[in-house]
Amino acid sequence: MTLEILAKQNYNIDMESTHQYFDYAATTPLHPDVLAAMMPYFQTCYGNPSSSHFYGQQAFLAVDDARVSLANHFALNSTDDLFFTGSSTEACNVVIRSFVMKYWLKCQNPGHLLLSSVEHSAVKETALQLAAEGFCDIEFLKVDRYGFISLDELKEKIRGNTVLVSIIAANNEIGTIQSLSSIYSICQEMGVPFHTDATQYAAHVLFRAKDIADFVTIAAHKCYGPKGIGAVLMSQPHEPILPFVTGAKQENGRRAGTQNVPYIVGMAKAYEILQHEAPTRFAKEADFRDQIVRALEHKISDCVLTGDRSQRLTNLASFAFENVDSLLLQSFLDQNGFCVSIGSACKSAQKRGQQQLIEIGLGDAWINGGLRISVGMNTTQNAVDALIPLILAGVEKIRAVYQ
Amino acid sequence: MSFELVKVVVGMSGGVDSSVAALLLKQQGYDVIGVMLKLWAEEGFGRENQCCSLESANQARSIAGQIGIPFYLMDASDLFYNSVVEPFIHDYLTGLTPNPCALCNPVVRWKMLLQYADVLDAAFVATGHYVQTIRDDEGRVHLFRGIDPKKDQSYIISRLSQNQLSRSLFPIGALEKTQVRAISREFSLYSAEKPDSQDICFIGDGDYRSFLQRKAGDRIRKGAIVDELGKMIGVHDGLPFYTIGQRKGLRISAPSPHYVIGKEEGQNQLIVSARREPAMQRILLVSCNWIVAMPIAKSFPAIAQVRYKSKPLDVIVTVENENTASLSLVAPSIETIACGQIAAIYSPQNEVIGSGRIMETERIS
Repeated sequence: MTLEILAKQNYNIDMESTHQYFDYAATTPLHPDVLAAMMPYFQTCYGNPSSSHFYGQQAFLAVDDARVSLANHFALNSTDDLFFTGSSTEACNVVIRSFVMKYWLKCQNPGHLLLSSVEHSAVKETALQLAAEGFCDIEFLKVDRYGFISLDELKEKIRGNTVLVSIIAANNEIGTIQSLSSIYSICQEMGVPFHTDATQYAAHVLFRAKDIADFVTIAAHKCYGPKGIGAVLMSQPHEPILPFVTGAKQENGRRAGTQNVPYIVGMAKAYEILQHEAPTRFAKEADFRDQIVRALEHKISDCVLTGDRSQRLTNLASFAFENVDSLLLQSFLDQNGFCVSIGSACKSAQKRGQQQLIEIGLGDAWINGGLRISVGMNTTQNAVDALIPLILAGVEKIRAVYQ
Repeated sequence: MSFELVKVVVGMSGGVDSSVAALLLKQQGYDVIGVMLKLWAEEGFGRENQCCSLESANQARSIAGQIGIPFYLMDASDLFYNSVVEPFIHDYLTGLTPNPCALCNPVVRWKMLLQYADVLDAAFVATGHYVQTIRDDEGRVHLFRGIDPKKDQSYIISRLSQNQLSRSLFPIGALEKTQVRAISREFSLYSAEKPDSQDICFIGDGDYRSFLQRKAGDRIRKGAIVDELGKMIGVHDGLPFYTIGQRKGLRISAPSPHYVIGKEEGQNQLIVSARREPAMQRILLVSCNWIVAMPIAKSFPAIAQVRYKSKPLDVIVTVENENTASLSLVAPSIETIACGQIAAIYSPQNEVIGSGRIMETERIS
């Protein structure tokens, strides 16, 4: 038997999936209209936007149109207030590195970086690396049991040398949406720039960038756009960004490298569709989310909803189960045809468990039991109805085997 | 007609052996699920646990994709720390030389794999160890050496219980390593040929002495090095840092080389001698694990192996009780044997009868 034959027998190489997808917070399928919008830019209008000929101009225009569309969607003052990156992780990197390094270059001593304790690794690990190299000092703002930072603590911790406050808009694991306008007001009053990682948030809330932060970083792939494209949105006049991908002068010198034209077009299309579909999309997501929350809270003992009950992403239900290793639960569900996600592990040697569950103060018996179920465009009522009893069965089985 | 395939959970390392094991099971028609256990590793040395690094996990995941089976990473770090690393430290502090792999298999690896199999209703677990099993008419599983004498791993597998073995498959035990490599090549598996590491998987810098210093330095004291007559001839850094038979690194000024021949825990003394230890003639085993059942004969001839890949010794086994046995060596051996290590007992037909932990050795006086 050759590998090809083996492969064809196999479920996870088959393109026709037998699995139900409940992990839209990890990534989403391309919206068919996004794919259609992208297609011409692979083989027909494939020019380099920097080229001064016909093909180059076509591509340049496509990127410009996308920029206008996104600037409109996020109500930016100008199309120059947005630049594209290779991911939202890269977007977070450039904002943080720029503020930290500009301060370092100016003052030759480490600036102060203020982060929430529940940042995505795009922000947290970037900051930790810069701190390890001596370029900044980091302070973390604790979160309460619902995942909110304290506005009082924020005020207290902002210092004269605070170079940036960076707080995730909506948590990617527990779904809590921070009080962004209040945070932003405090930062504005105290004269400190505010960055928010809105990778999840932007796909589930319509907002104007200037209402939530000075710098907003986003991706396309949580919103039915392609993976591998992100952007930095700037809502206020600002000092020039210090690029860390250097080369030619694309994106006004803020991010070198030939623009990924089809993906940029796809990203703009994805947010354009969101603008149209938002009310129905969000309502459908929230309906499924709430069904799942109600059912699991009702049916499973020793199960808590993680994150805030009302201020949360419309598509994300998240839980912790006592005395359940959710790695096991996740693979049990996968084996039974349902794809969900669990929290990322804590990197500390002192404490095992999922970072965010530790941060919201859950006890030791709970911190390995985080489960994230996120719904989206192709979620069906039948799938939701089948998922719930399966989770119940999985939790019971795991508790029985590992008691 | 529809039928359910028999499910098997395979422990995968990304290496060639477990990859081929998974492939063979898939070809034999099992419903195969690949798993890697994430074990504990000391932090701060820029290296992960050697048994389950991110690199190996990615490798195993690629291979699982190639074979066409799902692959999951499981977290066994707490269990591993509590039931392997802590006893490892404790053993050294109490004068024993632990064998963490022998402990890991029954109390971490098989325990976790079987529990996971229970969650998924899988009948079996499997690994890429070079051992063979046969189920007899009464359903009891017998354990044998792997076909390839250079790769045989029955020594380390000898700690598994009958219950664990009865749910285990070893798909490559009847193959030579060269055949396993050939299969891997034939199917172009991305598996790695990992060098056999002598390092202990969880120690950051690979040096058990400095690991003990870091983890239990406050419980290790310097003391006297004495000769056979009790005369002090030097100072040792702490008994756990020395092994029986050791000659180098004693830092004593003596006209001839001295060997470590014993440790006096009570007085914290390291005993050395200009003569090597006399030949060993009897070994006392505790924590015995009888693969099929405790032997009926109270005393019988057998073959013993006192280290992984060491030369088999002819012995007479005397079974004291379920847990305890002694091995009398037919020809006294000058092999250095550290208490705390495992001795595996074989029949002349290469069947593993059982194994025990070496608690005491008697030497020719």
